[in-house]
Amino acid sequence: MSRRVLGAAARGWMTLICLGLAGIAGAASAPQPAASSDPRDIDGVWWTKGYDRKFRPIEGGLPPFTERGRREWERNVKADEAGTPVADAPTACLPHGIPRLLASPYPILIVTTPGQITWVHEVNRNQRFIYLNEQHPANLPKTYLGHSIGHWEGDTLVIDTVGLNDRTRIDEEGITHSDQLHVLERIRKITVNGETQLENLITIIDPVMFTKPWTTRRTYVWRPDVRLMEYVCEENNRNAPVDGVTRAK
Amino acid sequence: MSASWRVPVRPALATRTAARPLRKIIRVVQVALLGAATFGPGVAMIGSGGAVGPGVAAIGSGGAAGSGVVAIGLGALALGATASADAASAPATTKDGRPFFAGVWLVETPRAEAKTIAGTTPPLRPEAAQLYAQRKQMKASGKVAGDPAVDECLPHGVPRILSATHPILILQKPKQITVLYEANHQSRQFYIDDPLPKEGEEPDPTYNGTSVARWDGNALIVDTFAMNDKTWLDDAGLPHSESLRVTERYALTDAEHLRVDITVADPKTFTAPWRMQVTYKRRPDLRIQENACAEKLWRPPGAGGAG
Repeated sequence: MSRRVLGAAARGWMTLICLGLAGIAGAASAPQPAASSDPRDIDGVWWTKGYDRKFRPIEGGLPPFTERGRREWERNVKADEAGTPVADAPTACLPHGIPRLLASPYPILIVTTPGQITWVHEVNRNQRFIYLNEQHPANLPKTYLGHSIGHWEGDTLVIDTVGLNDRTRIDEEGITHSDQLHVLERIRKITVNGETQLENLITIIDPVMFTKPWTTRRTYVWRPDVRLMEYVCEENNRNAPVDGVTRAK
Repeated sequence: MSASWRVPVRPALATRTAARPLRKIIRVVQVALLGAATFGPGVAMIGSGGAVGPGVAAIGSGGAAGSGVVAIGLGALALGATASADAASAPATTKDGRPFFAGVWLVETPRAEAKTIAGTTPPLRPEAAQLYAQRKQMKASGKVAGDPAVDECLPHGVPRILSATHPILILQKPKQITVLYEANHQSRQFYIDDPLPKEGEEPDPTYNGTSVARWDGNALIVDTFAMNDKTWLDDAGLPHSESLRVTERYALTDAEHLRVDITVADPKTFTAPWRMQVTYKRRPDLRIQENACAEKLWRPPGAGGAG
């Protein structure tokens, strides 16, 4: 599969880029359904605005690392630079974890139903369920995506996620977290230069890795022209870890 | 919503002859364009490119753009209870008069081997029958790990996914029905009143195919096409070719039971189309749990070998 893709890419890269741009141009010129004017209607397909593999505090600088948090981050960055990146969960086709999933450069389908908001991520088929106006159950098992509850504060959707295992990372670059991680999201619909976006202010709380909570930001663009593609990480995974290290194959 | 919600974005790419990997590469290009300058030497971008599955691209449009939620989620216990109470004898309906499929369901009496309505083995052509026998023998031996869904965590394909013994969640909106399968976190999108593609213009093959749906009275008819031949039609290894077409007819038999009548057509594998049936029971007490099949592919540090 990947060989086929790469071969085709080598043969027709310029053509592909032209087609891709033509597609984008087509999307721009075709009549699109307008985004709902209801600030609480966030249903549809959204796609991250730009891509940044690093999570950093909104005010700039590095996250407020504890000694251990800084040590683990530096280890991962150095391993990357040495060409022997330390494998994390998504490398092995496991769910990305929260908050790393929130930075993924793949489309997200959001569907609201009574009592629940479901996020269907294209990337590795991550499925996220946000239960509205509930409490977290006691004795949660630790999972990759944790347990999410949400409620509306005016026009802002507040999501609270706990029950996360420590096998995922905060970001792709290599900021780590413990299983005490607690993530708060404040999501609202905004309009920027006529473009409908979702803004997500993501607050990361983990006393093992950080001395205090810190907040980063991501935005997603309304994309009614996009449908989710089938994503199959498991097929011929060229990044499958060997001895805990990922080597591009 | 009028028919104008559908926007053909890249019709030129909709042909099979346009080289199957095109769509995958286009998504890779799209992703790369998002932030080409910001990609480091990191693993995940390589992963993104390599991991993009065989895809159906972003043609068409905002299936989920329908206004007016008609679905019930898991959390809506009160509504669920109302639906159950109201519909003790008659199937529940949505506000726009459609059957109420939304919610969590669990398959009843799953079978390892697909059977026709008459209880017989599907009418396989000789070569396909031979392959089926080989796969059954392989599974029975327990020595070879060759089940694509179980051993390699690949998507189940249709109709096998319907019989997976994990709950499913149906999200129902006027123009789009999304089915989430707990098994290996799969999902299918049914775009209502999308046209069937013309012969030769089907999208690229994928594991779970591309589906369009339409209402037929109280039943939802789902046509699925453009499936690769890497999946099995049942847990035992029933084979198929890329010519596979599956039609599902979803109908409530009462408020608590959903019946799916499935027609399987694949002239390269079967001598005639054949029908099977899967039934589900409504399970408002269940929620979709994380099912990370790929755990079994993980090789911890020190174990050696590629995952």
